[in-house]
Amino acid sequence: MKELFTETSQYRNWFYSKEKLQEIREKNHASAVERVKQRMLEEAELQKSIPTRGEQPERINSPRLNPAEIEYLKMEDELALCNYYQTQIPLVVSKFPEEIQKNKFTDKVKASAITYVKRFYLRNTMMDYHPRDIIITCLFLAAKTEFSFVPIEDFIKFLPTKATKEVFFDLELIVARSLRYEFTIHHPYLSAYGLFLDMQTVLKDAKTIQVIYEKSKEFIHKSLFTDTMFLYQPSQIALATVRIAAKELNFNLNSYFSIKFNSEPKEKLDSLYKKLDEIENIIKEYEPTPLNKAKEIDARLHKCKNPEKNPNSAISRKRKLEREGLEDADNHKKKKIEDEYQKSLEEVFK
Amino acid sequence: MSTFQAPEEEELQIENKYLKEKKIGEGTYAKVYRGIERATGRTVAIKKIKLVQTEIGSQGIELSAVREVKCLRELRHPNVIELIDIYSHKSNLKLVLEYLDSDLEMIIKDKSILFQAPDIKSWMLMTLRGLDHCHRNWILHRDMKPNNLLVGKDGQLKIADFGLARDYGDPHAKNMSPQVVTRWYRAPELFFMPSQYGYAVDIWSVGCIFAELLLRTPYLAGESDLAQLELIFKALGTPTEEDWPGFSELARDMKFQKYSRTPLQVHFKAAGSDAIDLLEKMLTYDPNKRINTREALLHSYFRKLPRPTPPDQLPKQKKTQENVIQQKELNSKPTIQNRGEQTEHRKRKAQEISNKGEKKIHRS
Repeated sequence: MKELFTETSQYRNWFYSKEKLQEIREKNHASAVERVKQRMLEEAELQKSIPTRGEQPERINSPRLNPAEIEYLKMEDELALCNYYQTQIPLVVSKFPEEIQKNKFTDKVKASAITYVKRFYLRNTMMDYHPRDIIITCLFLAAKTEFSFVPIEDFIKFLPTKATKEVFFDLELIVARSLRYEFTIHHPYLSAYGLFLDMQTVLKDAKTIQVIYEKSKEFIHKSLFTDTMFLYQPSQIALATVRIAAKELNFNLNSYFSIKFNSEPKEKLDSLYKKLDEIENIIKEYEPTPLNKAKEIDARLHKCKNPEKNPNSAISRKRKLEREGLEDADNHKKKKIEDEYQKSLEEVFK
Repeated sequence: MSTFQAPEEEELQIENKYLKEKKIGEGTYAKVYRGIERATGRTVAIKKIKLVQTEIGSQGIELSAVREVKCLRELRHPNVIELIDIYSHKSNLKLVLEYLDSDLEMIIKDKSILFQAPDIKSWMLMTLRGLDHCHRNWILHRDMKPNNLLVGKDGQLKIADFGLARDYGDPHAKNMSPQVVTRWYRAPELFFMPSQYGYAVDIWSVGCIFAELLLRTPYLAGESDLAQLELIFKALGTPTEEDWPGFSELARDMKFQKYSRTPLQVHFKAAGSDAIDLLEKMLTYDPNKRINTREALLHSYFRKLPRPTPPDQLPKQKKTQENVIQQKELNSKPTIQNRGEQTEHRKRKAQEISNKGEKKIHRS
C-alpha cells in the first residue's frame, strides 16, 4: 500500500509535515493580504478621480473609509470560515431530491468535494473567492470527477443561489487550476473497507466488526474537516478511526493488531502507534465553527474583499478597458498585416 | 511546482513554456496543435479542449477531458502517453502531451512493412506493460485499439486517449456504462448491458489487437452490435454454461446459433503454440477466468525465444503523414479525413465513426 501511495499525486503534491503545512499557510496568507491591500489602495485612488455624477461604479467601500485602516482577515479567520463552509457541503447535498442524493452524491463525491475546498483554500484566499460559491463549484466538479455527473441546471434549481451557471463554469476552471488538475483523491473509506474485510477473516466476532466498521465511517467523515488528509496516509487514518470506533464500543483490538503487526520491527511499530495517537487526537479535538462565529467573520470579510474580483469596481473597469485596448491593438496589428498582404497581392498583378 | 506560488502565476508560467505551431487535427471535443517547448526545443502536442454545447447545454469542462486529465495525472510509465502540463486560456483547457509520429494501426495497415514474430512480441510486451501500470493504479482504459497505441520515433509504444477511462477498484462502483470500447475490440460481456465490469474488458481488447497483429487485418470486424456478438461466437464457438457460468442467464432473452469451437491454430497458422495459448487466455469468455496483465506478462510467450525486438529496432513507417499525426489524441474524430487513399481504410474509418456515434455523452 505504502509503495503505491507514493506514486499518487496526493503524495507528490498534497502531503506535508505539520511544519511545512503551517509554513505554506502563513506565507500564502501574508502574500494574499499584501496583494489585496495594493488593490484596495489602487481602488481608492481610482475612486477619487471618478466624478460623483453620471455613470459611477458601485463603491465597495464607504468613500470616507481609509484603505490603510481596513482590517484584513487573519489566517485563523480564514481557517475557521473554511471549516464552517466545508461542513455546509452535506447540507447543500440535502437540498437535492432524495433520488439524486442517493444515486449521485455518494460518500466519495462528498469527501472529494470537501477535500477540493480544503486544497483550494490552501492556495487561495477568501478575500478573492467567497466560499459560498466555491463549495458549490467543488461539489459540481467532484460529481464529475467521481463519475456521478449532475447537470449544472439541477444545482441552480435546487440550491438557494443567485449565481448563474456561467459563474460556476468560470469558477470551475479556477478551482481546477488551483487543484493543479489533480482530481484523484484517496480517501480513508476504501482502506477502512479493506480493514473490515480483513478483520472478518482474522477475528471471530463478525457482528461487532460490522458495527465497528459502520462507526468508523462516522469518524472518517469527521476527519475530512480536519487537516489529517494533508498529514497522514489514508490507510493510517482508516486504521486510527477503526481503533477509535472499537474503543468506543469497548472492543479490544489488541489481538488483531498483534496478529497483523507483531512481525514488524519495534521502531516501525512505535512510529505507527504514535501516528495513530496523533490522528485520534486531531479527530477528538475537532470542533466545527459555530454559526455566530462564521457570521461574524463573514461580516468582516465583506469589508476586505479584493475589489479586482468585483466587476463593478473602478479597478475592474480600468482592467477591462486595458484589456480591450490590448485587443484593439492586437486587431489593429492583424488588420495591418492583412492590408499589407492584400497590397502585395495587388502588386503581383502590376 | 512551487508550493508558494499563486495558481494564476503558476499557470501563466506554464503557458509561456510552450509555443503553439500548427494545427494537426480536429474533432468534436478538441483541436490538436503541434508545438514546441521553448526551453528545450522538444516537440509536443497541444490538445485544446473545446467547450462543447451538448444536447443539455454547456456543462463546463468537458466530461471526457475531466476523465482523461484525472487518469493521466496519476500515470507515469514509459508505455503510457505523458501528460506534460495543463493550463487554461480564456476558458479553454489545454493539455500538453508527448508528441508521437505514428500508431500501431498505421503500422499494421502499411503493407510495405514486414513483421516478424519478435516484433509482434515486442509490441505486445509494451502494450501489456502500459496496461498493467494503468490497472495497478486502478484505471480502466475502456478504449484499447491499435489506433490508440501511439509509436514514437524511438519505437516505444504508448497507450493514449484516456477520454473513456475511469478509475475502478471501488467495491461499491455502480452504474458503469456498458457503452464503451470501439465495437471490434469490445468484450462479449459488455454486449449484455452490465452495470459493473472490470479490468478484463481491456484484456479482451488486447487479445483482439494481438490477433490483428498476427493476421494484419482486424480479427472481429462486426458491422453492428448484434453482428459483432455473432462474429465472436462464430470465431470462438458459442459459449456454454461451462465456458461462461451465468451466460445462459445473461442471454435468456436472446437466441444464438450454436457454433462449435474451431481451434485457434486453424486461423493463426503462423503463430507458435505459446502465442496461441496466450491469445486463447485473453479471449476467454468468462471475465473471471480471463488472464490479467500480471499473469500475461509472466506467460511463457514472453519468456521463450525468440526474444522481443528492442523498440529502436522495430520496423517503422518510412514516411509519416503530418496530418495523421496524433489524431488519435482526439476523443471523437468524425471530422478527420486525409487518412490515406486506400478505400479500405476509409471504410474502416466510416465504421469507426458509426461506432463512435453510438457513444452517449454522459457516460459514467
